[in-house]
This record gives sequence, C-alpha cells and structure tokens, in this order.
Amino acid sequence: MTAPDTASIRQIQAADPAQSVWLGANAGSGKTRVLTDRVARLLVDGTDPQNILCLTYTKSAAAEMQNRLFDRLGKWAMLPDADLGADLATLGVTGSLDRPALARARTLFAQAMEVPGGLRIQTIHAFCAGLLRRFPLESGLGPGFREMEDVEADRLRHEVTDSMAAGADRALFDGLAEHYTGGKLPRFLAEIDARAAVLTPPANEANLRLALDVSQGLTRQSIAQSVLRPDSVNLIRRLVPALLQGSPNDRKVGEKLAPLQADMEPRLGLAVLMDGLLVQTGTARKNFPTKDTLLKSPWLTGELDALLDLTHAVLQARADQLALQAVDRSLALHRFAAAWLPRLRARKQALGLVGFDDLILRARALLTDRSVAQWVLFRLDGGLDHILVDEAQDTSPPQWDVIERLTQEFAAGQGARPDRRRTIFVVGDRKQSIYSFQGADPAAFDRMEQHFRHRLTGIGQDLTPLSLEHSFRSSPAILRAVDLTFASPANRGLGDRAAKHLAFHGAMPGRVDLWPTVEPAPKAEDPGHWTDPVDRTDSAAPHMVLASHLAARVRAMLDGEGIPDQKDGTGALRPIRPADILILVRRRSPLFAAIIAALKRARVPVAGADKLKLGAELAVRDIAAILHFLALPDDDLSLACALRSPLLGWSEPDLYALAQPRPAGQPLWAALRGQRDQHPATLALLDDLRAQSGFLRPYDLINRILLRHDGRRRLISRLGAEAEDGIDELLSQALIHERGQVPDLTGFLAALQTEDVTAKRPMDTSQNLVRVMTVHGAKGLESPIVILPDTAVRRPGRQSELLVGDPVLWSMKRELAPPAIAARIDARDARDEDERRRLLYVAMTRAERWLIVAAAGAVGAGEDSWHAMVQGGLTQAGAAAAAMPTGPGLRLEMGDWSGDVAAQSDTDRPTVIPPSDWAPLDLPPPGPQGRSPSDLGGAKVLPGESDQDEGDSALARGRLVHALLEHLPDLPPADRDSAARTLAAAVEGAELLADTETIITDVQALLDHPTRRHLFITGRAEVALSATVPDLNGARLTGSIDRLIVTDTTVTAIDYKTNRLVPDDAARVPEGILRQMGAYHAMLEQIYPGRDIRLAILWVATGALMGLTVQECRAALRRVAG
Amino acid sequence: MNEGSWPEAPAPDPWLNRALRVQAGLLLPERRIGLAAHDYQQAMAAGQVWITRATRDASAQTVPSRWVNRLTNLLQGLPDTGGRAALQAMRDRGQAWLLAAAQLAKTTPTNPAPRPSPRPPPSHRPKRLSVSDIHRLIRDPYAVYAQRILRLESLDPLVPSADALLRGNILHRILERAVSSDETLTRHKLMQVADDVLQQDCPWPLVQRQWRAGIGRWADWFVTTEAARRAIAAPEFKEEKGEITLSETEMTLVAKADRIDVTADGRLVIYDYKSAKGPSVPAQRAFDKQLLIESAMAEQGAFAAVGPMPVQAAVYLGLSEMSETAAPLADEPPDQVWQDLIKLTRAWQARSLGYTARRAVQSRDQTGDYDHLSRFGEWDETTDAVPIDLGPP
Repeated sequence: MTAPDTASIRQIQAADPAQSVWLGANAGSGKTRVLTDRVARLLVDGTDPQNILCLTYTKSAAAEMQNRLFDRLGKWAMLPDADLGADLATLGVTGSLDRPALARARTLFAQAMEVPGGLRIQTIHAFCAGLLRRFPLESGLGPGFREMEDVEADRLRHEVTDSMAAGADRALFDGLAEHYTGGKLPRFLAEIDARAAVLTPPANEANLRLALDVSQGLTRQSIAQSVLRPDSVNLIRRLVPALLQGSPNDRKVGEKLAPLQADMEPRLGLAVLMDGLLVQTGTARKNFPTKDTLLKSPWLTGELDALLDLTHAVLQARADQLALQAVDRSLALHRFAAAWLPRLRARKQALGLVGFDDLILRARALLTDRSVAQWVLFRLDGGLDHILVDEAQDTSPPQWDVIERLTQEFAAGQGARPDRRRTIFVVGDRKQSIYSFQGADPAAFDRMEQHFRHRLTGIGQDLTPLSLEHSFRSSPAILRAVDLTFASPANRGLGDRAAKHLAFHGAMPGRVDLWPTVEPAPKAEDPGHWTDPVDRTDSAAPHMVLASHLAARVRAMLDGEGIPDQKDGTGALRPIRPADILILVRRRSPLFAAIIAALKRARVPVAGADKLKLGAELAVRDIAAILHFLALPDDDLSLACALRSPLLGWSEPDLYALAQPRPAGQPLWAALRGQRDQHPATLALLDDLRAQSGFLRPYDLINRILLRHDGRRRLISRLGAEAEDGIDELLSQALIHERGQVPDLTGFLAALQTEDVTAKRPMDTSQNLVRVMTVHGAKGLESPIVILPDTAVRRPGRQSELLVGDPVLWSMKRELAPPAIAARIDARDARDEDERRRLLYVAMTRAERWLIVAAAGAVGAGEDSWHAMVQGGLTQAGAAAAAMPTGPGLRLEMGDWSGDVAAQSDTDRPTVIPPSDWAPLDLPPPGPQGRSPSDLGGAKVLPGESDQDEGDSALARGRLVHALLEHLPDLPPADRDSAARTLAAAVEGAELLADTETIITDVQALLDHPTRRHLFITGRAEVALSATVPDLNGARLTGSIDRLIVTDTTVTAIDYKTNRLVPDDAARVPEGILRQMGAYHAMLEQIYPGRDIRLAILWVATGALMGLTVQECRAALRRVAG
Repeated sequence: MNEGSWPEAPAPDPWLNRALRVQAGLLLPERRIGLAAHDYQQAMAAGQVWITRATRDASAQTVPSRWVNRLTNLLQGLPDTGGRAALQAMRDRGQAWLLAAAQLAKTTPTNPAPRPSPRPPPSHRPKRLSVSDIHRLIRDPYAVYAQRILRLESLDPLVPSADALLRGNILHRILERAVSSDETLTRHKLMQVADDVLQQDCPWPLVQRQWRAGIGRWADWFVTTEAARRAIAAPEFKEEKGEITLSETEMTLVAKADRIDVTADGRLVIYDYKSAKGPSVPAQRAFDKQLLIESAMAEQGAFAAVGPMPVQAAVYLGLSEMSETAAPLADEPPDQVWQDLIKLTRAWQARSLGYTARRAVQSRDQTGDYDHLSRFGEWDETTDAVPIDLGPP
C-alpha cells in the first residue's frame, strides 16, 4: 500500500467520525467523497444507520450519495479478507481489523439497505416533510397535508388577493396597488409571502417613522407651512418683477414663481416654490439668478443670502416629503401584509397545503415549541446521533435553526445519552454561496461555525476546523487563473482569505482562453424608408456575432480537435465529444437563445435550454394545434397550424391552395373535407383522431398522435432531439391534469393556456450533447471544457422589493430614497455584487482542462465585469497574447496540447449487436375477425335507389331516425318535440340534412300510430350483442338490434330501415338486409335457445312493419362469401 | 425496479414510531416490504425475467431497488465463479434491447421549414387595408398574408384573461366616455367613469383594483393636460371610423381614430391613446405610421363625419408614462405621406414582393398570432427569407 498523499490525508481526517468537523471545501476537492466516507466509517464503527442524518442540497445529490454508499458497502460485502482490510485501511479505519470486524463490515451492505424507513440521506425539505407527517397534530397540520408546487402557490396567493380586492379589506389592497408600479404583482406577492416571518408582527406608523428618521409630528401640511412663512413669500414677491425682466431663463422661473401669494393653500404654495427654485431632478437651480439679471437689478445681490436660505428650506421640504412618502409606502405594505398573510395562512390550512418554505418554518416551530420538542426528538426513531450537512453555504437561516434544534439534544444534557457519541459534520464553501434568492446567507455559514464551536466546547467537545484545498478536478492552469482572478481585493464576498487552490493532478494540462469582447456595432442599422419593403436579415447585434463565433469554434472542436486525456499529461490527445463541452451563462438572455440557435445551425448536437417553457416549445404547440382543432373543428388557424406542422407536413403552397380559394365564411375544415381525394393521408389522420377525441383522455389522444400516427418521429426529425423533452413534459402535464380533474380535452387545453408550465430539462452527460445552461444550474457539475460567453458588464437584474431589517422597508428608486432606505439599498447591492463574484468563482471552477471566457458588449475594466476580472487574473498570471476568433486575446496554457489526435474511440459505438430478429416480432395468431351484421355484403336498397346517392346525408338521416326512435318513446309526449329538435341538432352530420322537419314529423307520426305505438314501448332499444356464428365458419359478429322484444317464449328482433323505396312484400327485401337479419337470428338463437325467434323490418318511410321468414334470412346469411 | 416503486416506501406513521408499535404488538411497516420481497422472489423464478428500471425520474436520479442492488452486488463480487460474466451477459442482453429501441426511435433529420415569404398573385392580394395592417406590412407582412389572404383568424383564448389587449380596450373606453366637449374633465369624473367601466368590463377584482390604481396615478396629469388640450381645440369626434380609396392603386384604407379635436378655426388635432407611451419620433418615421397616416387620411376627407380639413397636429398620449409624443407632421406632411401610401400600396401589388414573416419586429420577444403558422422557431431572424410563389403564374 502506498502512503497516502496530503490531499487524501486531509480527506481521511475530515471523514474521521470520532470528531465533529467544520469543513471548508474548495470546488472540486471531493467533498461528496468525504461525506460518503464519513457515513461508511460511522457504519463500520457500529453506528445504527437510523441514527445518521445526512442533509444534501438536492434530491439528485441525495440519490447519488446513496448509490455511492451502496457501491462501497456492496463491494465490501464480497471482498476477501485481505482486500477488505486494505480497503478499510485506505479509508482510515484504524484499530484491529480482525475476522469478526471484517465479517461485520460485510453485513453493512444489507443493514444499510434494509434500514427501516430507509437511510436518512435526504434534502432538508424531505426531512422536514417527513417530520411533519410524523407529527401532524403537534405541528398543527392535518395528517393529509400536501406540498404545493410553485404554480399552485402562485394561484393560491392570487385567489386570496382577489378575494381581498373584492371584499371589505379592499382599501388595504388599494393602498398597496397605489404604491406598486411594477408589472409583476405575482412576484411581489410571492416575495411578501416568503418574508412572512419578518413581516409579522407588522410595523406601525410610529415604527416606520422612527426607522426612516421622520419625526412623529411631521405632516405634509406642516412641511409646507414651515417653508411658506410670510418672509419667504415676501422675498419671492420682491424677486418676481426683477426675474421677469431678467435673462430668458430667469424669465421662465419668474413666470413659475409669479402665482405665489401669501394667502395660498400652503401645499400649493410649496409646489410653486419647488417648481421655481428646484430643477426636475430635485436639486437647486444653478446660476440663479443669472449675471444678466443681477446686472439689470443690482439690488438683488442683497437678497441672495435670503434666497439661498429659502432654497435650502425648500430642498429640506422636498426631502421630508419624500421621506413621508416612503413612510406611507412601507406602511401600505405592512398594513396589507398584516391582513393578507393571515388570510393566506388560513386558506392553506383549509386546503391542507404546505409551501416549500412552510415545511422548514413549520418544522422549526415544531422543534422549538418547548411543550412538544422533547417529545418529538424522543420519538424520532432512536434519535439522531450524527448529523451531516452538505452545501452548508447555501443553507438559509431558518434551515440552520432546524439543524441547530436537532443538535440541541447533544448539549442539553437531559435526554442526552451519555453512552453514545454524537457528532456534527458540516461541509461547505463560502465561495460557492449563490442561492441568496432562495434565502441562503453566506454570513450564516461563518456565524454558525462560531455557534457550534461554542456549544460543543460547552460540553467538553471540539469542533475541528478543516479545509480541503486540493482540487481533484481542474488543471493547475485553471486553478492559477481562478486564484489570481480572485486575488485581493477582488475576493470580496468570497471569504477572508484569497482563494487558494492546490492541484491534485499537478501535471494535468490546462488552458484558459480570453476572447476579446464583441463590441456593439457603432450605429443602429438604418431601418430604411417605410415604403421600401426590402427584406432584412438581422445578425449584427453583438450577441448574435458572438453566438456564431462560438458555434463555429465548437464545430471546429468537434471536427477533429483533441484534448489531453490523461491526468498526468502523458499520452495522445483524444477527440473532443459534444458532452465534453459545457456553456454557462448568467441568465436565460437573448445571448443564451442565440447560442443554442447558432449551435443548432452549425449542426452541433446540443441539448435545448436547461429550462423549457412548455407553451413556447414548437413541438408542443404543434400537438396543441391539433388538439385545439379536435376540440373545435372550426378553429381555422389551429387547423392551419396543424397542417403546416411536421405532424401533417403541409407546405406553404399546399395550405394556400386550400385556404385561399375557399368561399367567404367557409371553415377551413369544410374546405379540407371537400378535397378528400387530394389529401387522403391528412384526412385519414384527422378522421381517426376526430373519431377518438370524444372518448380518449388527453393523454391517450396525444399518445395516439405520437405513436400510431408517428408524430414523435416526425416532430423530432424536423425539430431536433430537444423537441423530445417538450413532448414528454406535455404528456406528464396531461397525466397531472387528469389527477386533479375530469380529463376532458377542452379543460386540458385551457389549463395548458393559463398555467405557464416550465420544466427543467435533465442535463446529464449520458446523451453526448453540448450543454448550455445557467451557472446556478451547473452547481456540482464539472466538464472538460467550459465556455463562459456571458461576462460583459451587466446591469443588476431583478432585485428584491423588500429591504430586510427591522422593520422591513419597501424599496424605492435610489434617487428618491431617504437615507435609511438608500443605506439598505446600498447594502443589498453590495451583497448582490459579492454574490456575482461568487457566481464567477463557481462558473470558472466547473472547468477541468479548458476554460474559454468571451463576452458581447461593454466589459469595462477592473471589477466592472467578469471579463475584466478574468483579464486581470490572466495578465497577472502571465498569459500570452493569442489570436482568438473575436480578435487578439489571451491564453494561459500548460501541458502538451499539440500532437495527433487519437482515433475516435469505440466507446461511442455500440459494442453489443442488437438481436437481428427483433423485428418483426411474432404477432400473436390473429383471433377471429369481428364483423358487423350490417356489413356482410349484398345490396341494401332496391334498384333505383343508389347506396351512394346522397352519401353523408343519407347516413345522417339514418342516424337521426334511429336516435329519434330510440329516445323519444321514453319521454312524455309533451317533451318530445323539443327533444326531437335537440337530437336533430346534435346528430353527426346534422348540417347536411335539409328535411329535418319532415323526418321529425314522420317519426312522431309513427310513434303515435295506433298499431305501431306498442312497438316502441315494449322491449329494449339498441340492444348490443356479440356471438360467433357457425354459418360463417365461426366468425365473430358484433352488432346492435334496434328493438328487441323478449318474452318467455318468443324473441322479436326489429330493425328500422330508412330506405326511400320500400319493397311491397318480403320476397323483394334486398339481400343485404336479409343477411343482416339472418345474422341476428343466428346470434339470438344461441343466446335464447328454445325460444321462437321472429324477425321484422320497420320501414320508417311508410310505417310498414314487415315480418321476414327465418329460413330466407338464414339462407341469405349462408350466401355470405368467405 | 427502483426504491420507492418496488418496494414502495412505507408511509410515515403519524401515530406510533416503530419501537412503540413493537411494544403495542402491532405489525411494523416493513412487513409490507417483506411481502413485496416475496413477490419479487417468486417473479424471479420465472423462465424468463426482465429487470428494468428508469435511471431518473422527473426531478432526480433514482436508487435501484434493493433487490436489484443485492443481485448485481452478489454477481459483481463473484469473479471467480463466473458471477461477473453472468452479470455482464445479463446487461448485454438488456443493452441489446435498449439499442434496438434506440434504433427504432432513430430519426433522420429533415431540413427545418424556411422563413416564408409567400408571393401570391396581385389579384389575390387584399384590396382593403387598415392602418394597423400597414403597420404589419412593415413589421410582419406574413401576418397580413395569413389574415387577409388565407383568411385564418385566431380565436379568443379558451379562458379569458386580463391581458394587455383588454387593458387597452378598457382605457380607450374610459377616455371615450370621460372626455366630452360639454363639460370640464375633473379627476373625480375620470375616476367615476373608470369605476363604471372597470366594473362592467373587468370581472377580476384584483386586476380591477390594480388597473384603477394605475389610472389614479396618471389621472391628475391627464386632467391638467386635458385643460391645455381644450384650450387648443374641442373634442368633437371619438372612435371615429374613416375610409378612403387610393384611386391610383385602388386600395381602400380604413382607420379608426381614437379622438379628433377641432380648433376654432377649423383645423384638426388627432389624438391616439397609448397605455404606456407613444412611439418615438424615429420609430414613427420608420415603422409606426399610424398618426401620420390618419392625418393624411383626414386631410383627404376619409373621415366622412369630419370632412376634409387641415391637420394642425397629431399626438400620442402615453398614459402610464404621462407623455405626449407628437407625430412629425413637419417632416412628413400629410401630402407626402399620401404619396408614400400610394408608393407602398403599389409596391405591394408587385408579384415579386413577398409577405416575409417577422420582417422587422420590434423585439425578438414579441410574439404574433401567426408566428406558429409561419413556423417561427424552425427559423429565426437571422435566417434569410425564402420567396414562395403561389397561385396561378
């Protein structure tokens, strides 16, 4: 066994379960490994897995840790003694590894896997949810509570606000609305909700005046009165005539001041003074009065001091007014919140819903409540002896509170079990704290370290501070660039010490490239004269230029460039694969979209945006277009969109030929049906879907489009592989929809339209695609090549409206803000600035070997932009000038990047040959074919009446008559007329019928017919039956009999026929009808053996009821071919 | 075969923890897992067994079922007795099917749809255009093609929502009713009308109050500036429809002016209300010709009720930004605009001019009703438009 190196020794130390550890871990320093090792060692030491709680940041991280742990324990279970002993020793397990100890290690696999309730490696949210579910009563929730998705939470907040705006508390909402000028109310409400804890109890006016330094008695009136004293009015009245005769500028001022009168309403007077003495931005007028005016009226000089005093007083009045306005603003917020938050809480409680933040807050409350906390901790199975916290830098203060409460038992003495060792292990990296918008507070990371140290010291234990400085991930070139980029003073926000990284693989080749920024084009393109409709193609914007450079560069990389493969820098270069490349942006901006589009154009295999907006996905819109058409066939535009989609594949000229010539007012669908012969494939697809859309759930309907009609393949071949994610998300939305409500098509489409569903796209390397995503999304990822194209100066994006502190204040424009608010805005901005720096740290440290930094737009200097910071770092590192695609840039390189690229390895190619006989699969032998009795061949009408005569309209007529005869008899005669009309409008093809009235009258007459009437009230209508018929070689027939009258001895089957030409006697009944009746007989005879089966036709046209002889009919049946 | 699916995770027990359950003589929740293990064991005894699992679910990677873990771990740990080979063989057999499935799903990429620039024959082109059509002819001609030539209208959404369109309509309605030549406008009156209209046309309380607050913010500005507008001219016509045919090109232009005021000396001042702000002067020169065209139409007598009268000014009133933006009548006098209109409509009679999709949209984020039909997304603004000749030659 080789002696462990320093990096490994550090890891072993940190994983030693004998001590509590506070671990600072650089990016890529293997902290997941330390966590897994520590859990493994706890188990080796005999800790019951139930007593370990390991909190991760994401569900994926939890699953990955479990899988890693099972891998390791599983390996142990099967290793021979010597190897197992060696493995344990590498892990740092000391002490005697005798046979029983080894045997015990082998059982850990099964033990860990079968822990009752599962290993507690989970997110803090999952842990809290589990806790609340275990103690629903203690935490004041119903046992059936459910976690809310963001969309649902938004809806709930909206609902509550809506009811408030309509109800008695309307004034409180009006107060908020008066001051809220932004366009994103839902976002603002979400922020108020998230800050519920600090908004309760609400601040009152006195608190706010105190916080904003506004004296309690100050009012708008008193401000105005204090300025508008007689002497100031007199001063102005003296000045005005002189001003009016002065320079042009002063003349204007004079006109503004002229209306001022001693008896004026003070607030109006103040407004006049402000307008006159101050400029728009709220500062004093400069050069006032001007020299010219003073020369004309020299006596003015004597008044200047008084004027200056007055100007100061007006300035102060303005500041006071603004401060008062700030008080009003924050007060409106607090008043609203005081009424709104309890309503929201009550509504959630009533619906049994819990938000993600609520999980933490409720759990905290549960663990804080003295009356139940001990009980809860006691009842947690066996207690939690060892707590491990991952990504501690992104833990929010309430989450820390939960962790803190869980560990309280350690120190509390009572309830503490002295026989058991208890530890805490916290790993994090302040430099990587980038989730402040989810409440993370990097300062808490340091604060909590002190807190835990203090607590542990109190009970005679230590908290060992350790740090992992080695990076197992990156090349020294990249680490050097990182260290120098964040050399003081650019390390603000990253912690006290400058970033310091040690490369574990000291010889790993690496490269950092800085592309010069793409400067914005000097002048906007001339849009041309409006009457000159020349086409323009737009590609001059800097982000478009950068995107195409990037795409070309990536294309070149994939077309034969290589990257050093071995970590020690030896060996040949290997070809670059798409999955090697990770492109990170700060937000989903136009640049982000441009890069994805440019990569696609360059035929680079690229995963789509990491977050997809369902409604914006083209594939989803294509499917939705068909669904919209199915829900409403007269929706011309949706039909047209469906036709033009890859699903139906129409070209622009195809659509033109259909839509343009159609007469005014004709729906597109009608026109399309008129061209049945020209578009058989399209109509086959649409007809099939129309036939199904009344029965299938949206989910099945979509799948029918995708599978039976090959929609998935058609969409993907045109729109690219990333279309698949949108399609899959649409399907899962269809499933979610039917969980909540009746799965009808219109409801689903309405939900799709109103709910702005966004989904995360899985971004793993298994698909071998170039990945483009935000830095936040790349947390925990690594990649051989990382490109940062989004490093130009950026105006701060969305900022919080609420300024945290005591009391919470509502932010406003910095220029108008009173000092107290300005100070908080500055502090917030500084925090944001720090976080932006940390974000760059995270972005840069994702790279293993090659980091490319590029920008579009202004980059500034110093710390203005990421680009400038990296430039500073690289210059200090001695990077060489190098030609880059956007111009002369910098390159810092180590290791050998020259040489031949090894041939494409085989790993991309399948090593296993698919079974050659996979298709066609053996289908099960065809079962007996179902046939319909009315479809057994033979003429169905008398010569002279053609089957095809009226096509659709004859069918519609038949349908209507049958429907009338089926439903009307059951209704009281008085209701029949209106029911008949409803039916007439509802039958398929109703619009084709010209003689509806006649049909209804005829049928009514038939129903009232003295000798026929009884037919429709005895027996049953539309009786479905199915049987195998020996006459047809055992073929299965399925049909339905219009009226079946069954008595103890007889069975009468009557079929209604709407033929226009009615035969005079049974001998002339057409063959097809005889066969049909014969089939009914053959079926009925099996169902009702021994009864007398009679057959009859009711000719609706004449009202004649015609009995048929059984023999004739059976003979006809036997004539059916095959 | 994933943990959580098979075996299912036992539900948390709100009443008793495990220890207490044992003491009370109750069954442990793990019993169900034991039963599931029996099922698994029996299923595994079948002649042919397929073990499959999803490596990830909707949000995260998954953990294999404990029994699969045990099985693979056992085989993996038996190199000498052929365990690894057996496991590899199992995986290969599965892999073969995965490959087959992948092959089945394989698609041959086809070319994306082009950015269309359809060119129908002049006889099929519209003979009647609204002012907003002309705006679209400059920005997104394809929309005019789809709406006026293919006659494909978009339907109202299934669920009505408080969108920008409704807000615009409501603001127009409020001002139409509040502004009258008979009485002076006061804040009180404006807000009263606003309340009435919102009550009637906006059924969402929250939105209603929010929009009302917005109106409250510019009400004073509007009332003050309205007094100034009254000093210039009297508001005689509101929501006035105009129509006129350019005899040179036989094109009929239609427009609806928000408001036309008439000065004492018989000149017109045309106003247009915008929810936020009016277009800048450069934008008006290049794209947003609405008021310039309305002015030209007015001078030509398109507004029958008004009659042909000289236009003194045309102004956009931007409400929430509280701004007035005048149309550059001096730079583009109505006569010149009229000639330009003839030129423009004549240009659109040429077969060679295609209705290019999204020719010069204001911003990339802007979406139009006909983007989907034009297959925007398969192409973008950097794609060259492809002319498509349609109809009889």
